Amino acid sequence: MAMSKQSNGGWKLFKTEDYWAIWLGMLIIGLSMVGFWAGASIKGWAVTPGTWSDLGGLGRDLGKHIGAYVLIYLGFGVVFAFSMRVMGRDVKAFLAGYTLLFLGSLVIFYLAGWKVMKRLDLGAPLLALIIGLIVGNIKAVPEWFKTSLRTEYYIKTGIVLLGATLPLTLIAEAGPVAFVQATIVSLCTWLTIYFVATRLFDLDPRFAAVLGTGGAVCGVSGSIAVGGAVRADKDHIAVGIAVVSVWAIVMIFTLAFLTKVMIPEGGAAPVAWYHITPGEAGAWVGTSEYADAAGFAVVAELAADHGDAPIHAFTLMKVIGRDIWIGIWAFVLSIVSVVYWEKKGEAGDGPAGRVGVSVIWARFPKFVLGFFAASIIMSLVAANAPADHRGVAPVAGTFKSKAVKQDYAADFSSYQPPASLASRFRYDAGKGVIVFEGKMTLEELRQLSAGATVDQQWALKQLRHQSDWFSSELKAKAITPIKKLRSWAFVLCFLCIGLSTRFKELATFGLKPFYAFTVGVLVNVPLGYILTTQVFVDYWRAIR
Amino acid sequence: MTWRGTGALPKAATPTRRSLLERPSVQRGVESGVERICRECRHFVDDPVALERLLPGLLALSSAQGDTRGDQGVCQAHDRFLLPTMTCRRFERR
Repeated sequence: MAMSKQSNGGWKLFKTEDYWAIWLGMLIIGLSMVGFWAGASIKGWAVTPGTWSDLGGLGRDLGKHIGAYVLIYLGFGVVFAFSMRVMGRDVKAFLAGYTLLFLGSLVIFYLAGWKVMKRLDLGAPLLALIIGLIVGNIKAVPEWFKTSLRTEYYIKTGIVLLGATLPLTLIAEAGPVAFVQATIVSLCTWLTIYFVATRLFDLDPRFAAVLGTGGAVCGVSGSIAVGGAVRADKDHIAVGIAVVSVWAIVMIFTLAFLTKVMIPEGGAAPVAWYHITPGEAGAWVGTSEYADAAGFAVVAELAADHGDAPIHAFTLMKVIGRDIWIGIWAFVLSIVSVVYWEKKGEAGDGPAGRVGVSVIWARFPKFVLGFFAASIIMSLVAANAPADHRGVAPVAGTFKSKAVKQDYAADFSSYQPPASLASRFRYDAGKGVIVFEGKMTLEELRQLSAGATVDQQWALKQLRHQSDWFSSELKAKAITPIKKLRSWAFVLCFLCIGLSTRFKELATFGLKPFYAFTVGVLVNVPLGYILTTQVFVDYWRAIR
Repeated sequence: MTWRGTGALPKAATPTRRSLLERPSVQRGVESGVERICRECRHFVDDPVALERLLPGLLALSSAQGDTRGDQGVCQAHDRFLLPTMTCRRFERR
């Protein structure tokens, strides 16, 4: 079914990857929430491979999770394949390619979980990219396989799922700062590339606009979004794609290396002059990387060691600060193009036509709506914690947190809680558990732990965790499984970037556009660093 | 709202620019029940599969199937990347 025949009515909701990313993301979030409210959880099958050090460990993990991998393959595969059919693609070719991609992603996940890779500090995102680049540049992937290389579709799905893990309050607090910082950097970068390209290298202003928007707003998608609005030459678009892609790949490795060096070990507080926090790293990448997928490759790599702070800061900066304004860039540049840039010689038969404000909505990346919707849904659920929640923890077990894993076996038979908390604490010897009514504060934990043995203290810490409905229930049973599925979407995407980036195909541009863009990079990267680590540092350090 | 064809041209418009701005009212129209715009022109390539072949590297970090590309396409008569609502004298019905 041809795309041009689907341009009206409800078809619009099913004709682009943006909308399909929303539908798939919402389906996963819906399943997770229905399961949660029904007293179950999708966490049994929403899994990613664990760590291993020998083949026995690898075999055990694979055997334990193989059923879950099949379910994830089928779940994603059915929706992806159906949507590709609706969008007019060859489903057989897609399914064949998707199967290979999924198996490749599984291998990459396991490689990243190998202790050797942990020592080399290589996570699944960079591994997927490196392996993809090697394979894709040794031999071009066949045409049928390209049907499944949907970098944008996979990353958009991941971003919608990401919305479910990003509280609305964080968006409200840091969003305006992200917008201000992104606007400063975008304008400076765009103007730099534009003026260098037109004044120094005498390039066509529409070509300069395509290059500038690629560097300043949202990479290749930015170049394309304004390309039609300014009526750029086809070659301008092709060269814009090539230059932006080459720099985006270079910046993935550069920023990943720099930020890994600059974030203190274990995410400790910055001490040395060059130290930055994970939140600052995410914001810097969000300011200085050119494409969503490329930036997520960096912050997802950082997230393996530093939690979601880099991903959250990146998303605020890139998606909210930069991406959603692409329609406005297209509209403004379309006016500038007609008034100032059109060639006189084309006045006779060159293409012309109306560009209305509708272009703002037409070029708006709709998947962002899914991201916001997911955040709103999960924030509303989180804000309505049951008032009668009680924490229940075993007296013997393992306490796990990001930093600690501790076995304990406590005896509470002679334990006496402080009088002020006696009505809320009880010990059930028959079930071997301790119970606390309501959410335990840190101060209450301190009071309960005074005079307790070491094992009792670990059990009480576990009880405090269990008394927090958000952490022990909603996060553990609904949000964490969504994060695992998000990881699958991301790794599929990063593998696609590698496999579809053919440097031989991209190396078709002259040096002038490359130099012009490079000057923009030289402005963008340090400016992003200064704004993130000096001007707005308090906001980005607060991101968790 | 469209700012073109409303009669109020930007001050910066030179005579050449004015002719560009005014041209649509001359060229746009209906031919045998089909509007004379790129979307209906045989020179206009807007099929995502064809676009991904015409623009190598597009798949790596973007897509012809996303909203940022939308319904824009390549005019093979002018070798330009255009909105489907553009028009020109070389229009040929699909």
